[in-house]
Amino acid sequence: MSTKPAVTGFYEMPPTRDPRGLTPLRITADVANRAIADAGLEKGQIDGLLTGQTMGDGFTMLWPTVVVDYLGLDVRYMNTVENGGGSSTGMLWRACAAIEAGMCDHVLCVVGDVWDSKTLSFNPPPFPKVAREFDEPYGLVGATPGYAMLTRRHMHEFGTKPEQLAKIAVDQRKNAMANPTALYGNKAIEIEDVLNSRVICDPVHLLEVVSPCTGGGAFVVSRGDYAERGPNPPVRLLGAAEAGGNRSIIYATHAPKYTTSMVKRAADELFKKTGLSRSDMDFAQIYDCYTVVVLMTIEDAGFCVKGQSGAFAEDHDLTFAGDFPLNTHGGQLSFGQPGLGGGMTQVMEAIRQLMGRGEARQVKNATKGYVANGGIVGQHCGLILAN
Amino acid sequence: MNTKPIPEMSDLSRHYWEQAQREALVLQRCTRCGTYQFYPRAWCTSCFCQELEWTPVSGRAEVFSFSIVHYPPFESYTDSVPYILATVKLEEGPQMMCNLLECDLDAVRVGLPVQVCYEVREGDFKVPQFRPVGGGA
Repeated sequence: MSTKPAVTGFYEMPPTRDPRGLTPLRITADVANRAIADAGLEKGQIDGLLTGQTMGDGFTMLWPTVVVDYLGLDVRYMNTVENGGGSSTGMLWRACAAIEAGMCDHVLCVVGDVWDSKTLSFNPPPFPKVAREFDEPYGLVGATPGYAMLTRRHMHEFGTKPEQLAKIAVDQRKNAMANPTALYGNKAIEIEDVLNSRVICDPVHLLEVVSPCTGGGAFVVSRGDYAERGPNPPVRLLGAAEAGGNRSIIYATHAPKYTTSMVKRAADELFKKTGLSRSDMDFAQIYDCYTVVVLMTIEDAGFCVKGQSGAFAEDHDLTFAGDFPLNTHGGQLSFGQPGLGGGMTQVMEAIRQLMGRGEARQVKNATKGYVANGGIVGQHCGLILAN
Repeated sequence: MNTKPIPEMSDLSRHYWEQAQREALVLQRCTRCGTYQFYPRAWCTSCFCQELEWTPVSGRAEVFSFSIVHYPPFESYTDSVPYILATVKLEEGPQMMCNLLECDLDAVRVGLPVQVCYEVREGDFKVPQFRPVGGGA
């Protein structure tokens, strides 16, 4: 009998573009309530909390306390995991570690966020002072221009083609069409649709840019002995590896750091310590704020030779029924990016697939999966999960 | 009037911006290991020593990567779109961000040699920028 902690239940709110009446705390309470029930637990049994930051609540301090208070929890362990896109995979291993350290028995991991362009007005935006001093004066605000420069450099060094980048968006859209909750699952797109969509920051097109929305998700990690008798097949953590690096690639002095991301070191460590090979993975759920992030994660995680991810995308069927099932929920590009909870969508989908609840998009005989969170610049956390 | 953002400087970076007003580009250099760094910090990121010296640099660089931005991030950029946002690699090593000025959109490429220049904003505040060597690329 396994004594390792495991994921015992989850719930994900269908993302929406209509934030009316919703707040981060209201979403948090709703997804938490349903995830706890899915795990066969009562709220009073939750004694640990990990939560993500929210844009919709203005990035406030003491956030775990606010969440505990709102939900009426009584916990022995709590924290915010604020590693940008790397937060939700970061919650999963931290929950397991806390249980193994004897801190608690059932950890609720949750994030809910509201994206409302009408009320979301930060002045100044919640960016570090160093960004306000050295980025903003050059008109660099938000993520797209930086990823555009990364895309350009990848094209320059490796000959990556626009069509190859577009293939990521096209195949993920096919997955979204098998996911009734995906925001953009109603219309197939072809490579020329991506390349004909508006250029936002050359060479990045509109259909390669993630679209913010309102949503959230929660999962419960429980002590191993409970996980064995819980209502769902336990989803086990086989390994995790995390990395932090340059805040911005602009100032990464050494060129290789620009087009070889911190995913490389973390993934090498992850596969080494789990004793698994890349071919053991039945699917990959990879953070996808931009198409280049997916390509670079594929190659830096070792699924192909460095620099060859463009050809890899062309040569493989990346849909749930294909030979390299990738972002089977549609990815954030077609599912939606719920505020600061984007990475949670990849974690939700990995758990769903490993519990055999993927419905129309279930990956056949899925037993192990790779999950990568984080936009590869700044922070990254990768996991291998299994059923 | 050029109303693009004026940087909010810190005690640590004040010298960098003051020198820019005199059209001089200065970087921090570690007196122990010789590493140049940008942006300004209290510590050398290479050897973690605190003895850093402001050192004038050549202002010669090449384009490391770039993007042509089609949507203005601020109202003050409305008349500038599409504009070039670039990461340039200085001869001395560090990389900096800039907008390439006086550069044809079709002429920009990775590896293009560029030279520091200064854009004058509100209140005669000068911001270091770069333009193609020889002009009019």
